[in-house]
Amino acid sequence: MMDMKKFEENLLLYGTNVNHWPEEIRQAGLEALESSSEIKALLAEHEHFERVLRARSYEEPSNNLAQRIISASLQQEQKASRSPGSFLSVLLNELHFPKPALTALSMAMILLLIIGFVIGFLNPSDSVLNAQEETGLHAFLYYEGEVI
Amino acid sequence: MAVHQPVETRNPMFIFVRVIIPVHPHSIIFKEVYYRHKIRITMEDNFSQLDDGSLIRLIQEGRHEAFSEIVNRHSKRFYNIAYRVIFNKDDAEDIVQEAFLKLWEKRLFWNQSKEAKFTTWFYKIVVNLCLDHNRKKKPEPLSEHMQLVDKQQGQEALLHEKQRQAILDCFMRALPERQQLALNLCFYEGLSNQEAAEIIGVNLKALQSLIMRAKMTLKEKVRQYLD
Repeated sequence: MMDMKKFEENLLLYGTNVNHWPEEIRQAGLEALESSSEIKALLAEHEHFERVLRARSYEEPSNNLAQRIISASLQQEQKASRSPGSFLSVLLNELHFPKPALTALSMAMILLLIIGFVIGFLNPSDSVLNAQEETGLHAFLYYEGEVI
Repeated sequence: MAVHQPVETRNPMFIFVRVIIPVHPHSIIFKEVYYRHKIRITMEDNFSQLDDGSLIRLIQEGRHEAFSEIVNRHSKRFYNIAYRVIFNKDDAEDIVQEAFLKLWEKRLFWNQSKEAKFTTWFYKIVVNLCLDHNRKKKPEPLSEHMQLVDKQQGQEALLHEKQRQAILDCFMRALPERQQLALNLCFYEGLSNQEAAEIIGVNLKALQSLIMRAKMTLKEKVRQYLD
């Protein structure tokens, strides 16, 4: 049997229409209401309280609110449709990579870049060696330092 | 209602993406040919028959008609909660507009498989925008109705009612933020406790505790000042 305290808790949680309470407590609520005049008085008090709450001020939205939003979205779309950011987001979304895959791809690309730099530094190209050689020859031929 | 041509069909970038990328096995197009075929039959003329989930998928494809349908279907519902949290019609309308524009702008980032149903997710967006708005805005000492105690003949009853409403608004504003939200979502908007808990980001027990504390505080104040 539901006592007064529990009944009041349920009133606060689920409202004064006991028939709308969750199924598992509804029957116990109705029985408690039938059996006690105190609980009936409590229900009446809560009904009054809910009526006061429902009298809270409210203003209807403008009639054209939906149309205003739709027009604004069209204007926004026209502005954004040719931006590179928009293109990139469309592209990424279309590929539809999950986040871990994107992270792994990014890490792999960074790793490849680092490996590329390391290889580049360890193996200078022929063109660089030739340039160094030419510079050395030029310095030898046109050296204007002390006379031997 | 006018039917708009999809903006993307005129966009060369979009055409590039739609022509080059669809062969990718993770492509939305690749995966959802059947789904699109199925809903296209329904949507040819009547978007109002589609559920929110299908409309969101079409919005992600850039179908502005689907976006229009979502706005027409839900703008008043979200205005209601915005108004209840902000207590101002113009600001509430601006918030709802901002939220819907974000939905359109960021439509590609909505992951339907992970997120809850559309309305729950969108309630979260609107509520967060409202809370940000309230935090930025300086608190108003009293509503203008509270200062309208000009007792002209025949106006007294109306003024009395307005005063009661304004006092009630003050009581609501005095509640902690989450208690206000719980009450607005469950009592005024009629959402289930579970859905409201999800929107506020608390568990069910915590939500029930918020509702009970809010109502008990208000009940005490109503008893003291309005009865």
